[in-house]
Amino acid sequence: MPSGEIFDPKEILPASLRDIITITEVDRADFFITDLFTRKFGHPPPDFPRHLVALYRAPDKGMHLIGYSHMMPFGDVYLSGGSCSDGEAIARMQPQDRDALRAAGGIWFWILKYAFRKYADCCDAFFGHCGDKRALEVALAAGFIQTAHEHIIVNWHRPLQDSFKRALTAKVVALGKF
Amino acid sequence: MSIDKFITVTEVDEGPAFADALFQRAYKKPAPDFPHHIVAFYRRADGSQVPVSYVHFTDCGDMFLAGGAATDGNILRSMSAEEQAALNEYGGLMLATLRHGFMLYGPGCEAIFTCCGDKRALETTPKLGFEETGIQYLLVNFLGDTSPRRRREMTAKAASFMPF
Repeated sequence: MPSGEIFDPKEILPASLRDIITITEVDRADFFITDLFTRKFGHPPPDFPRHLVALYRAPDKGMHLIGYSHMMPFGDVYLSGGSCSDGEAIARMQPQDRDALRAAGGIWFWILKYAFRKYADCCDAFFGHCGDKRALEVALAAGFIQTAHEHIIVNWHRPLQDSFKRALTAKVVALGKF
Repeated sequence: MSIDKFITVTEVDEGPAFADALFQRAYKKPAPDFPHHIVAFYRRADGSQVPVSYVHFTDCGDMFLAGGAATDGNILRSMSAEEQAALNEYGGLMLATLRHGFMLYGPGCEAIFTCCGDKRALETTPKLGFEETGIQYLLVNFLGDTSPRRRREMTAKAASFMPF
């Protein structure tokens, strides 16, 4: 599996978040997000790649998980799923840090931006499944667009012929909810 | 008690964001800003994670260079007696981070080299299969069935990067 584009991760985050938030891929998600993920989805997090976590650096240098997204390689596309943010951890952030995060668009917005950059060379498109109205607003702002299929969203980050786009979309739709 | 209960080791995308402070303490310079960064995180009682140990692996094509190992002694001392005992029994965090690097990068290269002169670290390196190369401080674990000539070539190449 290609490790992804080599880039300066700090380029992704706006200056207001760079010193307080770090987004990174990790090899295993369970240590970081089992409690949160189980709370949100009722089962443990995926135990297969790839896992993106967003960590908030508190004044005592402790790092707190505030967001997670699973980006699953599925042949020539990546599937974005299992995304969640920890509202309680975000509520415990320093007020000025929390305000900066909110003003910048929220943590899922930046995790998506990060994924689109990091895995740009690894796939032909990113697909997501989004039924939540608020989450959809964030996803669209981050670069997803809606497909003709309910809840299926896509980010075409490289030029593709329409026939190829239709084929990739059909493949993802056939997969069902992910 | 297994160290998995309170330690996780993972590659991260950005070394300085996690390891700059402990790297600065050990080497008086910033952590490397190029891949690959292996970090051991310690889960504190309040649920937060703190980077407690770091090692850097440089991809040199046919070989990887492991260097820049550093551990935060203050965090180690802040651990409970039970956690400290589990870590001692395991063999220490440098062993855990290096093992993780071997697991990730070993299958894709012919050898992993390291540069080590520290007495305590030299107690750990044999557990990873590192052996002397004949060049002071330069240790190697040849992972495949390599000829003596190939070993000499790779050793010369690794030595050209010293210190790392």
